Amino acid sequence: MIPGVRVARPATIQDALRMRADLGLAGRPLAGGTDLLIELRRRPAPGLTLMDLSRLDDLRGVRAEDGTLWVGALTPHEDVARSALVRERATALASACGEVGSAQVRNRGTLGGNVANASPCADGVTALVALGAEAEVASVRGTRRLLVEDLVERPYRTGLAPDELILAFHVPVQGRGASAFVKLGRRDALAIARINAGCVVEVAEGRVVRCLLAVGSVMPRTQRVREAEDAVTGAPATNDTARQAGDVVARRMVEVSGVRWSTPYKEPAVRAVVARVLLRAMGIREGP
Amino acid sequence: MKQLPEDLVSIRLTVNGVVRSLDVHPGETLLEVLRGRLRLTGTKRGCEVGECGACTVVLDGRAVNSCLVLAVQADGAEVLTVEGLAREGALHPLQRAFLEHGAVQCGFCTPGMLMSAHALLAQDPSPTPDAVRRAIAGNLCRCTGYQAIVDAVLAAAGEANSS
Ligand SMILES: Cc1cc2nc3c(=O)[nH]c(=O)nc-3n(C[C@H](O)[C@H](O)[C@H](O)COP(=O)(O)OP(=O)(O)OC[C@H]3O[C@@H](n4cnc5c(N)ncnc54)[C@H](O)[C@@H]3O)c2cc1C
Ligand code: FES
Ligand code: FES
Repeated sequence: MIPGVRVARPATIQDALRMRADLGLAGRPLAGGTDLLIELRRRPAPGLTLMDLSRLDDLRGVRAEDGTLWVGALTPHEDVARSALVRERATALASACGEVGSAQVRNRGTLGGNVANASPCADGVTALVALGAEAEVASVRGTRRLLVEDLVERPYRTGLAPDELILAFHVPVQGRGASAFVKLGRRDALAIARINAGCVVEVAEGRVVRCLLAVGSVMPRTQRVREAEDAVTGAPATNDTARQAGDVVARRMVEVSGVRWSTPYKEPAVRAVVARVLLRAMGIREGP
Repeated sequence: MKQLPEDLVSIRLTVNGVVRSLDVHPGETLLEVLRGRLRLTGTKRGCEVGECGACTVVLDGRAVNSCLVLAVQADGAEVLTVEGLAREGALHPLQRAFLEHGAVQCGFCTPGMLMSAHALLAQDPSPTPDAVRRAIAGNLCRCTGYQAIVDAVLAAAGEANSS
């Protein structure tokens, strides 16, 4: 039982936005509930109105648009992971969603909820940031688009105004297999990754001509690591290059966050995850 | 769904093929309604945070943790619980396979395991061992070490395919 809450079930996007504007901080959107219901059990919020979004069928699914994939915010992880379009054109996102929690969690948990919850180790967030995806955000005041990297400001904190909803994501399409996602979890299933990485790598004539690389749970927020992207771009698509990028990210982590109790564990893990994700996107089997 | 006085909400859902109309609290979970109101206590209450899978039911064809679904969110939906597996007194092939392969020890995880397996086989009638492991990765079992469960699911799939 989630004590003291009310539930509203808007039938259209317009109704939902109006309701969101009326309720302000007295309301919370409810998508799959896999984060929110747990949070409300731990910290009850009597008087809160949950706006169940599950009737907004227009915000579910994947379709190809001009140079991007449109992914509705209410699409469950399982559907993102199974989508042929996402698997081929935004591989990193399909892998990330396919590695979330368990089948039960993937069947309910949505990509929009993953981003709005903004956990530092959210798998969908890392993949979307790596792919340079934008979020489409709306309120009764209008619609805006911004990079997911800019929307997720810090752990558990987004730039969403209290009257805004995420409607969808626009994910730039990549060549086949040109993007990848890797996470290090404590266990295979259910582990909320403590470190994850996503990347886009384009290779021409044996050299990397374009690289986007994002890491989660490494920096104070999920973000791209430009220093590592620059180090890789122009270099040969090899094991060595991938490892160098891992070194750059590990160094940046220490520069930004300082040396912490977790650093001796995290440094080698970060190196390994970054090297692995780049090799996967380059289509190179991991060396010894 | 309509909002009633005292903040109760009327919902209608189909559980194991039977249409049920109920007035529920907005904060009540599907798990609580199944066990408490409908007395379908085969579905187990474990961690209530999505980690053990004991509460797994099939909601509109998908395995979900019923502890993480509000009953009002199941308004209009079709729910299958472990009580809906047996037909006219005969165990479901999955249930028989679980018994034959020693996949049931204390039994606490069994209803959830069965529902995860059922959802898998409905989608993928000939799963690989890896696909079975992946499908039940959200169902914890403290007794069996999982192998017997994987064997049982594969055997039930094989039987269904050969008949
Ligand atoms: C057992 C378990 C394992 C998990 N494992 C992982 C994992 O491996 N990796 C991972 O990344 N996550 C994991 N999670 C976390 C969770 O499943 C995901 O973050 C999921 O994507 C959340 O989506 P949801 O639809 O359930 O969100 P909800 O819980 O419904 O909502 C989450 C937050 O987002 C807000 N919100 C939802 N939708 C919108 C919207 N469209 N616009 C604005 N705000 C919105 C809500 O108000 C709330 O604040 C796990 C959770 C559990 C219970
Ligand atoms: S009781 Fe629902 S997952 Fe444990
Ligand atoms: S049989 Fe005891 S928990 Fe699985």
